[in-house]
Parts: sequence; structure tokens; C-alpha cells
Amino acid sequence: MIRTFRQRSQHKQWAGLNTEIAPDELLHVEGAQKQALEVGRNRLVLTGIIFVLAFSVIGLRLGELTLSRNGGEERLARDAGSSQLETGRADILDRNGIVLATTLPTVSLYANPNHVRNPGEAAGQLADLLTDLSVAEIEERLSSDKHFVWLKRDLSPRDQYQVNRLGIPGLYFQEEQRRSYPQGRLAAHIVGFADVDNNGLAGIELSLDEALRGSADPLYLSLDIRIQHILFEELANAMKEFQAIGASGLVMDADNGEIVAMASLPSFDPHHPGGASREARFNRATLGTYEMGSVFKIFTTAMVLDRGLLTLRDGYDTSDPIRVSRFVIRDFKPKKRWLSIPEIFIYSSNIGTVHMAMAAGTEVQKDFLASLGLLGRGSIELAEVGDPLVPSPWREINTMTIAYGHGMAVNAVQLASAVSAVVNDGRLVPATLLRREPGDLAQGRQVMKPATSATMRRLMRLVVTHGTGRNADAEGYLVGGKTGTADKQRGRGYARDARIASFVAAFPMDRPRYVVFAMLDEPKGTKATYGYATGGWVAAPAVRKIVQRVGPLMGVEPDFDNFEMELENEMLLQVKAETKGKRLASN
Amino acid sequence: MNRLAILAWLVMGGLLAGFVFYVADDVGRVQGELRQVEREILKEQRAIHVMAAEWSYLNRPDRLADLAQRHLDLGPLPAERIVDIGDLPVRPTVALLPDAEDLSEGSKP
Repeated sequence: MIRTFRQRSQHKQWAGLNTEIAPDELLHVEGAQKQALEVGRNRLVLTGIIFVLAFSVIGLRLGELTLSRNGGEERLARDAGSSQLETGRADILDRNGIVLATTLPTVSLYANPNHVRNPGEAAGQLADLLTDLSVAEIEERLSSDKHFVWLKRDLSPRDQYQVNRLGIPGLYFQEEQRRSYPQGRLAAHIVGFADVDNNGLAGIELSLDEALRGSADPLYLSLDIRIQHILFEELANAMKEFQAIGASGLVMDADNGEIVAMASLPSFDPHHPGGASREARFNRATLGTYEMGSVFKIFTTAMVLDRGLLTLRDGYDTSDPIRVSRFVIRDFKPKKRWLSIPEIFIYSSNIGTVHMAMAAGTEVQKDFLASLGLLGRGSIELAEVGDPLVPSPWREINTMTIAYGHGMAVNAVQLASAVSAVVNDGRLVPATLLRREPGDLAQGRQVMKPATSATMRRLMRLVVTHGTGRNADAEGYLVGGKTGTADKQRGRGYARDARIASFVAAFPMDRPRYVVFAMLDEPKGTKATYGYATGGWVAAPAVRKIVQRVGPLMGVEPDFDNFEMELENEMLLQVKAETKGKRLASN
Repeated sequence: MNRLAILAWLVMGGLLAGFVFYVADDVGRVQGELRQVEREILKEQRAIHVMAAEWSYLNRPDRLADLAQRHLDLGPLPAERIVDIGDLPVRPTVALLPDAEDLSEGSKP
């Protein structure tokens, strides 16, 4: 009882501290009361300190924010201003930044049939503008129960204006993005095309669809549109001159495998792929596999030299055709005498080459062709890649025919890669359609001795100076190459009148920078070619013109007096005179 | 004294409040401007994008070749015309050719 009373009186005192208690009364506070007062004062001081600290922190921060410049504002401003244009699909550019594919804004017309008051009348008005739909079709769409029907995708600005002018209720425009290909049919097979909803359907648009969707940065291809144009034009000219049904070709950087130009003719307009024939959409350079003919002699010759099976001083008698079961292997233009290895190569003797392949045997041939990447799938960044057709089982007769490029089919990119390796000190680099950064030396695989490559460069140069490829000699650019003519397969046999004529070249031969391949499908001979439609007559001149135009453009320095190389080459041909008799006896 | 201090504080507070209001208003206005500029940038970017496509279209090699053929006096560059700088003849000095002036006059067509 007493306790509670005292407490209450304390309360009274505290409550009236400021007003009722006189100063002299405070002096009498002691004991428990004094202690309570102390605690209260301490708490007050502590709270005060905390508040002072808190406010000074805020004050300091305020001062820092207003007075100091730590650069944060600029970053903020930049972030705010970085409203980049979003197109939803990255552009595709050539190696120099020329636009090959881009996304452009467009509008599409749709209708909400529930809002269209008079479908019949509206259909009549729209029929003039929507030419691909009949009046009945438009009316049917406009009177359906749906809330959304497409009327026309991708309107031109003029059509949009006209539709607006009609003022039909219930019609709306949808802003959309549409793929556009400014270079048109020039690179149609490589760039490919996308559908109306911007899904890649062919070419790079298909194979790198995911990457194009996910990125705003443009994709640089290895193509150079200028060289592409030269290649395209020269192939088109050759195709016209020799009434070929198709042509293809490519220009490859011999050092790093970049494809700087690749064409397949006939081509198509990527804006209207549906209007093109299957034939035109077919990429002959990658999807088409062909028996390459004598071009393969490059590999047979490189094989026997690299494996040390034969030397340049060896040779074979090519007088008699080779008979194997029901086949007879003849020469196109028989020399009917002993030929040295260089001669077999430059005169393109089938008989001699078959002997060479037989000296190596099936296993060595298989192994060598595999190391050049001719038996497997190519590495190129396209979905349209044709797998090589390889004989199975690989019999002796296959070894013989493959020696001169029959009985096995590869695509043009594989061939060019392998030839690049042969001329480029034996380093095989995977072919690519994407631009390699300067200084990015592609990973290569050594597939033959550099010495073999040096010899092959001379032999290929000899083909152009003395052999079947004289029409390819672009003076000053030291072109070297090999002709190829293969009869097309028809059913189980070969057609005599339909052939693939090709030429593969590299230039300049003292240090090759580019490999050029040109192929014509079913060319016909003309008066100017004395009726011949072989690689040396129809494809080699195209290669010459391509080299003549590409050389100055790419800064390849012309060299008219590389006597050293030409002289040494001449010496290779002299071989026959001194060794003929001796070697013949031993064979 | 006390009243004067209070008055000073009030004036200061008032000024600060006014200043803060002014800044806030200004920020709002500048932000509006920024949005406007951003819209314009986007519009320009879109225009540039379309024009880049157009530029590429106008620079089609076959079109340029045709234009060059029609309007320029230029032709393909044959390899024979590319020479090393060392192969160029040294320019003859007047002292070596006493009749230099006659020659130059005579060489005029």
C-alpha cells in the first residue's frame, strides 16, 4: 500500500516538473529519485548524439552530392541516352561493312471483322489495293467471327496512304520489321533469306538464326562484295557464252580460309524466293557435290611426291590405255609416249595419273584425301552443305578413277580448301564465311611437307605456262592451276555430251594469296574454242578474267619478270630428255 | 535576439524551400527535354538505318559499273600499268637538255 502511494506521488512530481516544482525543491531530490533523473539525462544525451551523428552523415552526403563531381552524373546521362534502335535481328554486312541484309520498318494491314460494318462494300474498295486477294476472299475474311485477320503484310507507303484514304472502320495497321537485301541476287545463296516473320529459312539467315536474333551488333561476313560482283559477272558471261545450264565459283583467301566471294548461278531474288525455281535456289558451290575430274590430279600428284613414293624424275609410259575389267582408261589428248611426272600433270594424262595412284595404293590415297578434308563434311557456316560422295567399298578401280577425279564427288568449298592447303605450304585451314579479325591467324593443320607444296606450286604454274591451262594466264599475276573436265553421270554410266568443266587456280604462285575456282555445268563448245567445252577452254578464261580484275583491286603486285621461278620451272620440263631411257627400263 | 534568429531561420527555410521547388521543377522540365531528344535520336537512328540500306542498294557494284562506264573516262586497270616506283625514269633536268624548251613546245600536239 505504502509503496504504491509513493510511486504515485513520484509520478505527480515528474509530471509537473517544469511548472509546479520550484528550483529549491530539486535540490532535495536524492536516492532513487536522483538515480532516475541521471538515467533520463544520459538517455537524452545519447539520443542527442545519435541524432547529431545521423544528421551530420546526411549533411555530409548532401554536401558531397551537391559539391563533388565524381562522374556519376555523366554515366547516368549516358545510360539514359543509350536508347538504341532495336530491330530484333542483326544486320549482315560484308567484310567492308556494306549492308547485305538489314531489317527495315514496314506496316501490315489487319482487320477486326467485328468492327467492319459492311464487309461487302469494304472488300470491293480494297480489292484494287490488295491485288493478291480476290473480292470474295477479302469479303470472306472481313465477315469472319475472329477478332483479327491479316489482309496484307508489308505494305508500301503508297498503299498505306491509299488504305487510310478509304477510311474503312475496323482496319488497322501493325508496325512491323521486314528483312531487306540491298544487294539482291548477288549474294543470295550465301546470305539466304527469312520469312515474313523474320525466321531465317536459308543461307546465313538460317544457319546463324539464333545469333542474329540475339544480337544488335552486325555480323561481318568474309565476303567482299566487289570481288563477289566480279566473280558473279564473269561466271554469268561464261555461262552465257557457252550456254551452260549453271555455273559456280569461289574466291578463297589462301592463308586463312576466308571465302571472299562465292557464287552459284542461276541466282534468285531473296525478296521473292518463292518465285524462284528449285534450280536457282540450289547452291551449287556448297550443296552441290560434283566429280571434279582432272582437278583431282593435284592431290594424286601431291600425294606421291609427299609420301616420297615418286620423284619428279620418275615417269610412266602412257602409250596404251589401261584396261580394268569392263573399263578402259584413256587420255583425252594422248601423247603416246613416256611422260615424266611434271608432264603427266601439265598435259593431264589420265593413264599416267592412274599409274601414280597405283604406286601409292588404296590406303595411302584414302588417308591422304581424308587428311585434306575431302572425305568428311565441310566446316562452312551454312546449312546447305553437300556431303562428299565416297565409294564404299573402296576398290582398286575406285582408287584408279579417283586419281583423276571420277567416282568421288565433293563440293567446291572442300576442293578450294584442299587446294589452298596444297599451295599454302601444306597448311589446311577450315573454310569460313565469317570475317576473321586482322591478325587472327587461323588454326591450321599441317597436311603435307612445305617442300611438296613448293613443288606443287611450280607444277601448277607449269600447267598455265605450258599445259592445258594456258587460257588462264593473267599476265603479271603468276597464275597457276589445274583444269578439270568430268563427264556427268547419267543413270549408271557417264554421259558423253554433258560435262562439268572446271578450273582451280591460285595466284600469285610465288606466294599465293587467293585460290579461285570456276565451274560450268554442261557448257557447249563454240567456234572460238574449236568446239571444245573442256575446263581449259571454258573455265580457264573465266578464271583469267577474274584474276585480272581481282588482282589490282586487292593490291596484288604484278610481277612480269619473275625469271627465277619461270626458269626453274622450265628445268622441271627438261627432266624427260635426260632420264627417259634409264627410268623406262626400270619401270 | 531570439525573434531575429527565428526570423532569419524562417527566411532561410523559405528560400531553401523555394530553391528546392525550383530545382525540382527544372529537373522535370529537363527530363521532358531529354525524352524529347531521345525520341528524336531514335527517329534519326531509324532514318539512318533506312538510309544505310538505301546507300547499300545504290552502291550495288553492277550499278556503279554502269554509272562509271557512262559518266567516267576510266577503264579497268591492266596489270601492265602498275609499275614499281624505282622503274620510273628520273625526271630530266634542264641542264641535261639544252633544247628543253624547244622540245616541250615541239611535243605539244
